[in-house]
Amino acid sequence: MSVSVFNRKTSLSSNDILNLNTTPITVVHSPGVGKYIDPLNIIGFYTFGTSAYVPSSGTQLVFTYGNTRLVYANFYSLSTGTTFLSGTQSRSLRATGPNQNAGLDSFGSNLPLTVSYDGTGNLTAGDGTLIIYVKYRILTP
Amino acid sequence: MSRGYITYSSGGGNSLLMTTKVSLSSAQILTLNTIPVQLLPAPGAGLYYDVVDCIGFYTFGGTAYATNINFSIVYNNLTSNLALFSNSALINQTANRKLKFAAGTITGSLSAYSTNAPLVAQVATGNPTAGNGTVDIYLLYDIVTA
Repeated sequence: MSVSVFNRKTSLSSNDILNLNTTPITVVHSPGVGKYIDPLNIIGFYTFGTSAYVPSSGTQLVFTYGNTRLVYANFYSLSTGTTFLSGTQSRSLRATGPNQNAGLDSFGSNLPLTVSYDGTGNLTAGDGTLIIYVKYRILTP
Repeated sequence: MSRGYITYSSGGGNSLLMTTKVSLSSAQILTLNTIPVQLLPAPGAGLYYDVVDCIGFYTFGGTAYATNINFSIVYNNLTSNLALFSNSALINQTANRKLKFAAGTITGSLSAYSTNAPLVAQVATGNPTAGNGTVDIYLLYDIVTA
């Protein structure tokens, strides 16, 4: 049986990044009824601008299903600490994961894969940009 | 080295995910810090390898490798890039072992990805001492425009 693997690139502006707590960004669209997105690999290419992002209590950008964190596991994550978004240099990293959160499903049916910030509010300051590559397949149980 | 292909779709076009197997001898492993072994050649200007999966098959040879045993997959070398994958429980084993590699630890300020750079196997810190086993590395990867 052959398996199709897809690759999707999403470019986030500074404005997108600054609003990632309140407005998650879709990185892979809903796959259809009864289907699941299975992310195989996520990479972040961060281009530093002139000022670093400042976290507001959160520690990471999380990749999860739909627009609500804590309903599905934070499948993959990228740091908002000094090793990535709060740093003062351009950097490329493989997202950490797959992560597991006790009591939460990893997969959501017919939901988009989104990226959001896990803080209590949005990131403040910062003007860099971020390119995200998601390599994934579609599961139909 | 052997290579194979898996169906891959990117945007509106079709491409291929590729697989490769690279076998490392004991002599290569014993010098793996000072002389990294190339797994994939530089892909070309503006391109980088997106490695989806990395598996190591270790064949124990009678003496386990010692001291410097953090086996890493990295662009160029561990001085200029972070390990993309690493494992410290492969070549120090006293029996055959088959492992799926985890992502390397994110530290310092180096990047994990590098364009137009070869992908190599390297052991961190220094060369292993003693040891006579062999390792087969299997990679599933794509070549992507940065």
